[in-house]
Amino acid sequence: MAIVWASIRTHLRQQGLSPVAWLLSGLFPIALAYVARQLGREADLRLVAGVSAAAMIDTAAALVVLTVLSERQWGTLRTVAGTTRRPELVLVGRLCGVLIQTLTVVPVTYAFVSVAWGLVPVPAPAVAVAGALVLAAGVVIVMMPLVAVLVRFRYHPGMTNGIPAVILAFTGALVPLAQLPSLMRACATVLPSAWAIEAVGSGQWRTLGYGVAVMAGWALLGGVLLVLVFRRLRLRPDAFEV
Amino acid sequence: MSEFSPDHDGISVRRLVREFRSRTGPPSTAVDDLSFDVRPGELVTLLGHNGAGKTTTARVLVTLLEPTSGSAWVAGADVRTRAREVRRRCGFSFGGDTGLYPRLSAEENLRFFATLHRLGGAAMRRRCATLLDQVGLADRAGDRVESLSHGLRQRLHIARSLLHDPPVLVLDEPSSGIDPVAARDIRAMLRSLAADGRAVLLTTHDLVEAEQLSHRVLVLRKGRLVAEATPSRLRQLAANSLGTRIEVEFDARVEAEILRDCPGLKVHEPIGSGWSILVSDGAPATSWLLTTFGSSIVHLNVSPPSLEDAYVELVGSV
Amino acid sequence: MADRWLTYAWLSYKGLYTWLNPWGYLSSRVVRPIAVCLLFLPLGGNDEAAMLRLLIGSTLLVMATDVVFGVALAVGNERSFGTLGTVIASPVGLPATLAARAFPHVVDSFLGSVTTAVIAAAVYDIPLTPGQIARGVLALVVVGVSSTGVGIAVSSVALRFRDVFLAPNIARVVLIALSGALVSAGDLPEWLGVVSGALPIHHAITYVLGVPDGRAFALVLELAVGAAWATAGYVLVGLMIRSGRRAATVDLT
Repeated sequence: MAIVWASIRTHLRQQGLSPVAWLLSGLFPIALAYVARQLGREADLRLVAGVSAAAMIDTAAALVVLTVLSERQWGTLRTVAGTTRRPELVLVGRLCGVLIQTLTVVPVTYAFVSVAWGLVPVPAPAVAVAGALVLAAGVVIVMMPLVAVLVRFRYHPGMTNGIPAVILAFTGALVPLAQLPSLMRACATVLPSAWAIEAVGSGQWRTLGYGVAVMAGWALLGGVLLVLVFRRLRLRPDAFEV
Repeated sequence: MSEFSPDHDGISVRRLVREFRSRTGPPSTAVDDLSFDVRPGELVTLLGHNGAGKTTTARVLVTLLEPTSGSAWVAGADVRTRAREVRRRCGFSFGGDTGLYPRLSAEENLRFFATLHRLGGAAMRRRCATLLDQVGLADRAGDRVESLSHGLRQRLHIARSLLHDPPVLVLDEPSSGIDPVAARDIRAMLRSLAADGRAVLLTTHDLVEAEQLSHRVLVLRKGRLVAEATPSRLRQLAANSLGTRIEVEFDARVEAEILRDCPGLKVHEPIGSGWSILVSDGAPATSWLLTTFGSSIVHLNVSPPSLEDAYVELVGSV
Repeated sequence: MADRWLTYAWLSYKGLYTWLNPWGYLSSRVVRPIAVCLLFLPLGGNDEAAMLRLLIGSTLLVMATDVVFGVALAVGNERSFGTLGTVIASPVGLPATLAARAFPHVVDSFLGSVTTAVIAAAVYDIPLTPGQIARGVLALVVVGVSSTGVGIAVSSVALRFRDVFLAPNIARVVLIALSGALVSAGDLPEWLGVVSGALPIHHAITYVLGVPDGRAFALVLELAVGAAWATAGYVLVGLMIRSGRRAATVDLT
């Protein structure tokens, strides 16, 4: 656990003040909220949750790519792999750091929507707060397989460009899931962020519970993939190379 | 602006200063009042510790940095006011594992950089093939740079710097980090480049390289020039200061008192059946030994200071 | 001359971009644009006109952002490969090569955008007339050119600062909110409408969807916007290189 804490702390020191992170988590939700509102969406809690989810996915994807790329370039994963500690745990710590960074999106979006179009009522505050946490955690945990790809393949950034965009499109960020085509709606059921947005919007614990269950599945999948990738990486001649 | 104008088409540096601003403290001076010349056909080495100002000087000469003050001419053009002219006539290599496109092959890298020198068509392809052959990479031309070893990348860097057949070359540590055999090949290549009439400026902290290749050596310390001479002259300067060591063995015992008459004797100590003596000047001392002991000498070894001794004497610990 | 230009364009594209493997290309240039389009299209609800506008707008947006990122990140990738100094210190120099660097991205993004439009129109069953298709194709090409200007301007930031992702991301956000691709410029506050007019896409979307009388002029305006950005970009690139030589930042990775 100590290595995870240390990894979170060092992540926030290195990437916490990254201008790109602040831009994506600050300016992007404002732009999306503006677009959605201008195109007729209600300025309600679902809009806040959906726009936050969209900005979180964008921010988390950028930060995850930057973080793993930096670890590769600095050769720090190789250093950790040569110790008795597991490099997977370092990456889990980095993801927790990303989660903390993405959480800032929610108050920014809420504040902007409230200032621009009037205070947004929060009928079920406990569900809203828990939903925001599940939303951020869900977004970041879904990135775990992405991290595995980034670690496994040397020329990875291009390979991962489409994945956050697909998550973004299928998560029902800007419109209720009911307005999506049926295939996209079906895909949305495996995304914790889609459940979390619905839960925040509707104030239902049960919906949030589904989100948590789906998130647990992604965490398991991501964890197994990371372990497998690191195990197989040691067999490759270019393991841990930049 | 200085009114100085160089009388040759090599490299001329006059009172060059380059400072770097610091967020936390006063500005640091990487190059301080540096002046030197490299004439066509000459290979001159900038020698110094890490941080002595070698690479900063090289970067100013290839127009990547502007001088804070002073002036520098490369191939007859002022690096500050005629940067484009300098770029046209100067080749450079900063070596290392970066500076090339890893996903392109060696040949594709050369072709890409050739287009930046306005080369194209069959002439470009011929030039690239010639250079790949010249640096011993013809059989690896199609391999991606990412698969090349450090030494092969260094060769490719040098080939890239020669694409436009420049009369001036600035090479920053071209054999750094490569094995002795590859380093010897690169040195042979560098020697031939100067022999072709190019002005070549080399930066290194490899003393063997500096000694084997250089017509002159410039020793930098904290951005300042502390010595400028041929390698043998540098050794001579060091010898004057440090002395020359002579090891001599005799077929019979020789008393210490006799050695006190040796010209320039500084120190003497017994070794085996002879003496190790330190003298201020090797030539008269050797002559005296041969005259005095003649055929009773069975072994004589004169060791003037190495360039390393001279360098350490000049630069000391930084 | 043309041979040299094309060699340069192709090798810089091949050398600098890390998506040149089938999965990377598919992910960056096909999947991502389609997903971006599918994100925005549902905002049209059941309104056919709104859906058509969002389809055209999203497709142009995809084209513009791909070109801006492509050109802007060229400089960033030069930094990470340690080749920026070599390019800047060559006789041709960086500014003269930026247009050549943009060319493969315009071609590439055009193909990706057309694919995006076809798939998104099929998913949401949006009918397009032959006239709209022809104008859309022409608008895509013109937006590719006008976005190149923005890309050059944005790339200048990476010459001076090492955070190479910042400026292209700001450009993306601005294009999403203000270019008129998604929100009609008429719905923007007056002063933001003026800003919108100075951005790529604004005039191109008028060309595709506007009244027939002003179409040709809209296309000319779109090209003029691109030319203005390109001019500003070249000036900025020159200034940033100069500034980088003074501040010792041009060849830092």
